[in-house]
Amino acid sequence: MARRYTQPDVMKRRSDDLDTQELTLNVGPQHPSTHGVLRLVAVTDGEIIKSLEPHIGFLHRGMEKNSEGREYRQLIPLWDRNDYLASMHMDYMVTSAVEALMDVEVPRRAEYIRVIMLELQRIASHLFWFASFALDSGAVTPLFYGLKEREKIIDLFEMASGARLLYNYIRPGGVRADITPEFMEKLSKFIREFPRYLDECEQLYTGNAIFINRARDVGVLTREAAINLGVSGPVLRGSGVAWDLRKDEPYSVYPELKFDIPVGERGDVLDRYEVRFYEMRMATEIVRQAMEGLPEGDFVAKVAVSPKTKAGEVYVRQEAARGEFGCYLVSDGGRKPWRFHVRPGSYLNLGALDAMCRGYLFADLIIILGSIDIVLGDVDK
Amino acid sequence: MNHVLDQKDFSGLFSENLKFDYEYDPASQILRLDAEHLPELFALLAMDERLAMDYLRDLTAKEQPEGEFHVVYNWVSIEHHHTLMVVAKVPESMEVLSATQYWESANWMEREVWDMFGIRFAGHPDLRRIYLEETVSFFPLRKSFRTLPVENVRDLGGSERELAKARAKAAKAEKEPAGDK
Amino acid sequence: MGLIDGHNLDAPAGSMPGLALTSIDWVINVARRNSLWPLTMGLACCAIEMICASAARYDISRFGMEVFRPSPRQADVMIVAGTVTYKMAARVKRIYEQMPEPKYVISMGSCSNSGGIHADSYSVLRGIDKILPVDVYVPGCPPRPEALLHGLMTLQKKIDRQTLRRNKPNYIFENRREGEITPLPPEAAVEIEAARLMGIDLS
Ligand code: SF4
Repeated sequence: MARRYTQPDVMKRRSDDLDTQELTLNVGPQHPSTHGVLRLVAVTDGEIIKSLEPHIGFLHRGMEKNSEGREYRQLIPLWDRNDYLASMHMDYMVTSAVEALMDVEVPRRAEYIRVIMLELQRIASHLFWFASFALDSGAVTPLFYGLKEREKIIDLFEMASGARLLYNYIRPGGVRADITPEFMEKLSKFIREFPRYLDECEQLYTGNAIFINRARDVGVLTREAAINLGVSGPVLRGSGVAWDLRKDEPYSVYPELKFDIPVGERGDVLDRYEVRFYEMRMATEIVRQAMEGLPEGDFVAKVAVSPKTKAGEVYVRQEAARGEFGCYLVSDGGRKPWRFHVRPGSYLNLGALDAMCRGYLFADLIIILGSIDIVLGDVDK
Repeated sequence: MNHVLDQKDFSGLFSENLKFDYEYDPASQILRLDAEHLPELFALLAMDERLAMDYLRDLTAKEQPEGEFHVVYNWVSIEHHHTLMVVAKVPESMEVLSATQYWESANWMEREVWDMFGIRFAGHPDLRRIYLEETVSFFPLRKSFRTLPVENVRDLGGSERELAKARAKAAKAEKEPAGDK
Repeated sequence: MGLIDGHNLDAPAGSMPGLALTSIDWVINVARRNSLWPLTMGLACCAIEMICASAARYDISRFGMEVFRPSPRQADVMIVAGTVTYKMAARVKRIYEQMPEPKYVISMGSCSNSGGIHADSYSVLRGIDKILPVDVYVPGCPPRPEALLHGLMTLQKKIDRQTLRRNKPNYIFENRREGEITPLPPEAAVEIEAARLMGIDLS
């Protein structure tokens, strides 16, 4: 059943032939469902969205400019605040760009710890998405379920790095502190219990008929459109493109770990939802493998406190929680970057919102927006 | 650093099709050229079966120390699993061809480059500033732009170091007379 | 506060069950302090900690503040959680003006206190107190949920001291007395000028 309407379809379904007028509706920038400070201007014909324009920049902090005045070690806490729901990924992004321009051999233990942290962060971020997405689709209880479980991961991060939200943990050469036996104990307990929790969530929400009716065949993004619009992450995979940088352009120790890539079929909201749930299961699996394979040794290589890089340019990318993060670093051989550019995942995903919303009801807008999982800090930089 | 699985060497392909000056380095997969030649390059990248660069993953710009601007593109072919980075030198007119006719993802990225660097894109459907207000008169990421010297803003790295030096000096000065006694 | 039993008055026994004597200030303050309805003003990272404070583990509803209102017209306290850019500052100010009196502002996080890590940026307002009167500052980047709860309790203590008597210290409408607007701090001029360069009118 296609749910994308045009005005004549709706007219056909109605007995009268009332003509409707185009109407411009504004949502935000202070609106509870926009996940921050985003303004959406929709042109609707009756109830149908004809076009939609996101207005962004309400959280533009000029991070790229600020980076040019800071040393590499200071960049990590700064970019933590870019995608604040996945700040381990941000740490890794800055670190891998700096390491690519430095001669440093990262110890294998450090790489394994990084992978554990990155995957835990992916779970934490998807849990937060689940909480807020459920809220967007009209349910309140999952908010508490999702955040309750997320707190367990936050506890783990707090044990390792000392911070709850913005970790500043992964750094050039390795990680800031080694993980302790208590951490491993708690982590293995979490890994044991988490799949059961996911089952619980799926029982609670995934099979829910009301939810499926709202999410199925809504916000469809075709495979070709997805590639052309440059979306990434679960949105791209939800549209049926098996593209995951952990497999296709591998980094760190991902080639040594076994995992699957979930791919959607229809490219609708439900597919993106299921892709994320499957990713959480896979991430648990990756963490379990990394825990088992965790080698002994150093957790950080010898790197100067304020490292210098070689002159040159490099483009690194990674599969973060909400899409592909690319980092373009141009260095003139000093302690500060000459140019530091980040390709944020949410930015292009949000750019595809217009294509996803056209032809759907205005009431579907919020659930479609929720399904792409944006973080405004990341969109606006 | 990423490891691209099916990276190919395009030297032959480029020398066959590109009839202008360019620099290509297969090791780092960087192609350098002047922005006037972008129309031919876009057509080649999008249309050629062997390249099939269907996914424009990043588009940005940078300013060189000499003051010239470069637009930097990053393509990946989801079909063939290979990548290419293109660095195009922007002419004096500060206008280059828009990539939106082949890749829609360029739309917002070009708006960002216009907003931050003031590089115009010919043929862009809707070239407005994306982050800042329309009335802003500067382009923040140009090196000539400096943040306003507002009082409570410090250069973090510099002043920290100076403070530490001053403190060390004061501590030393305190110690020395004590040593004399 | 005193209690008078109904019996010892002239009225027939049982017709007047009991009386509580107290000051109006006390009654009003108790009512207000225990049902502070915050306005969701989540702007950046700090908003995540604000949401955590309202979720299962930290459970802000123990203090009667769980009713996060999306509309400024139903809110008592605005928790400014996150980085305030010039572009947003104009909106924050407008939303603040739409809140009914008496209203309070909690500035959560270094960014809204002073600009924080983004203080050297060209587009970030260095402290929400340059445009709004702030009641409680919660330091941290981001402050833990406990810190936010402590901030809210500090606000409750502040409310406890407030009075309805005009021209007294702690007058309840002290932020916005009739015809007189709390003067902006001297540094505000710099910020307003910087905002003007960004195309925003903050004055
Ligand atoms: S104070 Fe820190 S955590 Fe809070 S919004 Fe600012 S940068 Fe983010």
